[in-house]
Amino acid sequence: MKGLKLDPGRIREELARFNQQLQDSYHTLKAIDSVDVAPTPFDTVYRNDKVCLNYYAPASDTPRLAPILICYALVNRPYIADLQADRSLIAELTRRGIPVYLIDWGYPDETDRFLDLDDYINDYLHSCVEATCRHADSEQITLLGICQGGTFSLCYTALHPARVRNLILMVTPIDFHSDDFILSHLALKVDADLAVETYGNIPGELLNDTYNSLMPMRLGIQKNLGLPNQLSSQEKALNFLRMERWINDGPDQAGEAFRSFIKQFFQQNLLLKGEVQIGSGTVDLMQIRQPILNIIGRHDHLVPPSSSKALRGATASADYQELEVRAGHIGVFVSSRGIREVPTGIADWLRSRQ
Amino acid sequence: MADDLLSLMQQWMKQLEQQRATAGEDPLDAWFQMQQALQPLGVDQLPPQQAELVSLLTRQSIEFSRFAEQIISQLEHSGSETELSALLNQFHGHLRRLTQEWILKRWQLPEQLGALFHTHSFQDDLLLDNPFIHGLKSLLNTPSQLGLQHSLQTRLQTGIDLLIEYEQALRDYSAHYSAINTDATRGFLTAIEQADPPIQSIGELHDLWVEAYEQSYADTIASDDYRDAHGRISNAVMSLRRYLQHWRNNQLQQFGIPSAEQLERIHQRLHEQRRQLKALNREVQALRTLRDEVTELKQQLNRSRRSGTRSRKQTDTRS
Repeated sequence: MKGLKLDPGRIREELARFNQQLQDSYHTLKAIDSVDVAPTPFDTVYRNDKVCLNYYAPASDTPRLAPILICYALVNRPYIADLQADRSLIAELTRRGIPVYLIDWGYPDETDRFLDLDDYINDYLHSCVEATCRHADSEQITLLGICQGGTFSLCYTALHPARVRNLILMVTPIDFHSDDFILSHLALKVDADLAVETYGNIPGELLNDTYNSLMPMRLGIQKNLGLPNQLSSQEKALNFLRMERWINDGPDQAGEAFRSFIKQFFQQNLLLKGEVQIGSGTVDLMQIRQPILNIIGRHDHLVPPSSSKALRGATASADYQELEVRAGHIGVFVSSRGIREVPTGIADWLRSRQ
Repeated sequence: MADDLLSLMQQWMKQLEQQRATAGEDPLDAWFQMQQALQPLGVDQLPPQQAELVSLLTRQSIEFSRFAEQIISQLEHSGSETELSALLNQFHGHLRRLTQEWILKRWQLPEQLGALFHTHSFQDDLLLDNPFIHGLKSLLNTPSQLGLQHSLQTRLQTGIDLLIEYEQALRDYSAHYSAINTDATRGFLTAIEQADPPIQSIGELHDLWVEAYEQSYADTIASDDYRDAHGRISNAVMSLRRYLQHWRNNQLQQFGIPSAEQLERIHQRLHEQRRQLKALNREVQALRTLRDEVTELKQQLNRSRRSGTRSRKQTDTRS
């Protein structure tokens, strides 16, 4: 058989090696007491129901830049932006003299089942923007939206442009019907009303399964077979466990907000049509005149570049720039390349617009 | 328990070493037995996240070892002239088990029904072709005067219809996976043929399979047929779950216990009140600001009045 040269002795050795590594992995795991995340110190400066606004002070020895407010997605926890000391977008930004504010949406429970996009954008996000301006003693802020948080940031800026000086988007879906947007393609035939009627709040676990189903073998068999390697030392194991902790820590989604997001954005693709309805307002992207930096993951399998790039020309901004990083959806923040390129890119872009 | 686990592992490693030295009894059987025994062990001494990983590693190792054993046995019996088809059948079987486990886990029936069909494998025969369903169907076909109350009969009939829809949706959905497997196998074979240098380890074989599978999978899920099948199975599982919830809510209501639907209505009312309260707070805040502004204006007015009076007096004094 051409191309296949298996030998029983070598397979036995491979098996023995695999199981020896398994044993070592067990030792490594046994020695780890806890998996710590979010190491950068912060103060919670504002609360609104379960939503918290956390403040990360800039390094004192660098010239100060205008404050950034990070609006993360509802579907995962925001500490991915501060996963560990050497993989922290937030720490890198503060090191460059930028005061950072981060919205933590919290974990919705059954009392939040009826929160909708109006609550999230016109109440929570708006009040966080106001609180940031008050705390930073600044008239305006730079809004940095990540993934679904980027879509929220666009909606917010279109509806309340006064407080937003610059808009930065990372791995943000814009065109939900671009050809290679598989997640959106699969969501088309899922009955969102039935989902909310059945589950109330949509379990985070269910969404996580959906993301994993986009690459079942790579995120299943291959990842599992590589586990003994990932767990070969305590440092490697902690890196792996932190990421796993984050992956499996997806909050449940408030039912009404989920229903509206799936229908208006995923199924009807209303954002680009200028027809998204948030509360009593309609989102018109042409109301956005702020400078925009659009950061895209070239290998993003969740939000493909084609979807994010659809923003070019969709707003009234005369200052639009793209930064494409050779990384996947999460790699944009946590990969060594992402950490090397993205904070510097943001700081340089901001500095030239001070 | 953790130490038991470790000593079991060490015992097996020792056995493996001896076996390699003497080429005697194959220790893989012992490994399987040990691995099966490991699953419930040691977990309570680790934090949940680590325990979950140990469990996953163990399950993975069982599959990996089982497959390795089959390959070794095949190679030892046929020497270097091992039949490609036999090897591939084994590999295909190994991966089919993994895929099947994944599909069933992902689209499992709601808990109560899952327990009912616990032992069933949907690939073997029709999920609903069993004595329980036959009995239920014939009961439902009996005229209501002779059998169940009409409302109960209707409700059960709805449940059966939903189960049948689930079964058909699952079959339709799993047919896509069969096609993906077949297509991936074809790609896998081609990749083996073209491998240079030749594949020498099971790890490489797995990597090759993952590549072939992901390619075939990516092509399939982008199709409209797959999208429809995915939507159908998603909606079928949710409909069944909702049906059981309605059933449970009705029963709770009969016992006078508040149902999930009633709690939901309370949450909705609370949410509306929370919004109203926030709106009122905003209005109060706006009124406060207004009040402060009025006070400030009044003070300014008083100040300018006072200074006006003073300057008038000064003018009068001078004149």
